[in-house]
Amino acid sequence: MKKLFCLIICSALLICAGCSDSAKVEESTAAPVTVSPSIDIEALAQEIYDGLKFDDTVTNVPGSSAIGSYFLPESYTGRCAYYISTAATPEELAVFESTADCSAEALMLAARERITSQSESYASYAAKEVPKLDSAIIYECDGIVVVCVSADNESAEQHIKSCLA
Amino acid sequence: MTSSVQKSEVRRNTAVSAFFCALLAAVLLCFVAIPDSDFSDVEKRKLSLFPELTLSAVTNGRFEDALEVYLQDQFPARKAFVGIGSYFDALLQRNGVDGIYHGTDGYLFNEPVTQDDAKLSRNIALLNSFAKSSGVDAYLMTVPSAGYVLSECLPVGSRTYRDGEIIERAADLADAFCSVELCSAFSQSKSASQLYYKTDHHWTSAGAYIAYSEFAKNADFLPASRESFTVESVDSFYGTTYSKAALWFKKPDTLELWQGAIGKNVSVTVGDLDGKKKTTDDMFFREHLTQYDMYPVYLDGNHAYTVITNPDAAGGSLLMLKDSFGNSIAPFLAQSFKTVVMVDLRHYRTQPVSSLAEEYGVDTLLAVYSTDDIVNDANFTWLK
Repeated sequence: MKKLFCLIICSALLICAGCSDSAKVEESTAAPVTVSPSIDIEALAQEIYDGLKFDDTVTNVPGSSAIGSYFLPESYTGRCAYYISTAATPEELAVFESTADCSAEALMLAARERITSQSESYASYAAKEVPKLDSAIIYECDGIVVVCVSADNESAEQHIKSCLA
Repeated sequence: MTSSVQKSEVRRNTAVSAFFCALLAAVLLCFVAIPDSDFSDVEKRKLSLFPELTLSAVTNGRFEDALEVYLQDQFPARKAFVGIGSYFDALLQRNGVDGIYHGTDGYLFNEPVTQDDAKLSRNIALLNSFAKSSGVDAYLMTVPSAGYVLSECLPVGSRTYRDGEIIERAADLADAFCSVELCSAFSQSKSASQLYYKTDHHWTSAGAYIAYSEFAKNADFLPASRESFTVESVDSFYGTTYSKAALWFKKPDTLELWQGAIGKNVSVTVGDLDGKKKTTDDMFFREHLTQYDMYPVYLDGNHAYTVITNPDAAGGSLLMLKDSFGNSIAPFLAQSFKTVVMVDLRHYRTQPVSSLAEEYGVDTLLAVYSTDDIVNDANFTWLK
């Protein structure tokens, strides 16, 4: 009877473990994808931006600024669009195109490092902003990586997915 | 006899079960009864509150994740349990497991900075470009970490601190700057003065004063003498490494406020790019001394920009690009410069720093960064 009970518990644990989804960001597991040149990254970013809520003034800056902010390789040749706040808040939106030299995985890793660094920085500057970074969206679809820190990341996630669908 | 043994066993099992049920019930009751707290003073961080319950949050797993973090953050007697965990790790000699080394003499050290030549080169190139375009005398002060300077206090088996190599490499790359070398001066002074806090990663005021003196040697001006300052000591300062290490019985540090003799007409303005701004006549924001985090007593902590004017000082106008180490050296610099304009690039990015430099007639540039930030800060990209 005890053995049967243990067997049931172990099976339940294994099944439940399979059901769990603990990743805060959506991981890319797909093979490298070439983004279609017909996709207009700037227009896509604008569409995403238009559906987001921000507490700060968030403005469009040259995509090349994101190469520095995200410590991407200087050889990165992908298209990207970048919207940043005044820095009073960590709010920002970045849309990157993966390339043969800079995969979606590499872009997502850079994004995670950026979010971690921003969290440390804002902890001693504006601690009330840190939850926005804790729930930041890093989403990948067909070689396009979107990084979003907004005032409402919950609804932002749905919006980003619908824009990339 | 057998019946008696059985009864005794049943009683014991019942007692054990009742004890654990009571324990679980007590924890649950405490959890419900104790109001949630949104900030942990000792850990210096926001705590998670109960997550919003929506259908989409449940289906995509975010609610469950957030609930797990909420339960961890709001667990009854959390501070005590975190402390017990840290002391247990220390007992097992798991030194450095939380990114903090427990050194001798009460020092808590951040783990060493990882060398990354590509990042360092990129950051220095951006600094060079700005310094060349500004056309003023430029100085680079890279602050070695406490673990590097006080290596004799490190525990056995700790990773090697390569701050010396990073600082040397930064100096080589920074061809538009004169490098202010601190390692030698700190090595010579470390036995006479406490240069770093024991529970924080920053330098003490004594350390900052030595750095100011070294800068004066390089920039060829006479620094205010040590005797000209009135030193006010404040006890019970616990810093960042204490918060990370969670060894709650560590002795606190003493924070020193060095009030300069040339400071009767000082004006300080701190501001951020959302338009918030405040002006005062004291470089020490004493309201922070009643709070758990006292380090912002120096110029109210990190802001996008800070402007200190001291009409009685002899020097000109200094632009300081800085991280948090700059906050405690600035009061010394204000003894020697009529204007000290401080910019924190982590929070100053949509406006050109050159405009600010022009507005205040800057004639000297000083970049003050820890080895960690000179390598890893991605915000030099906003320097223009």
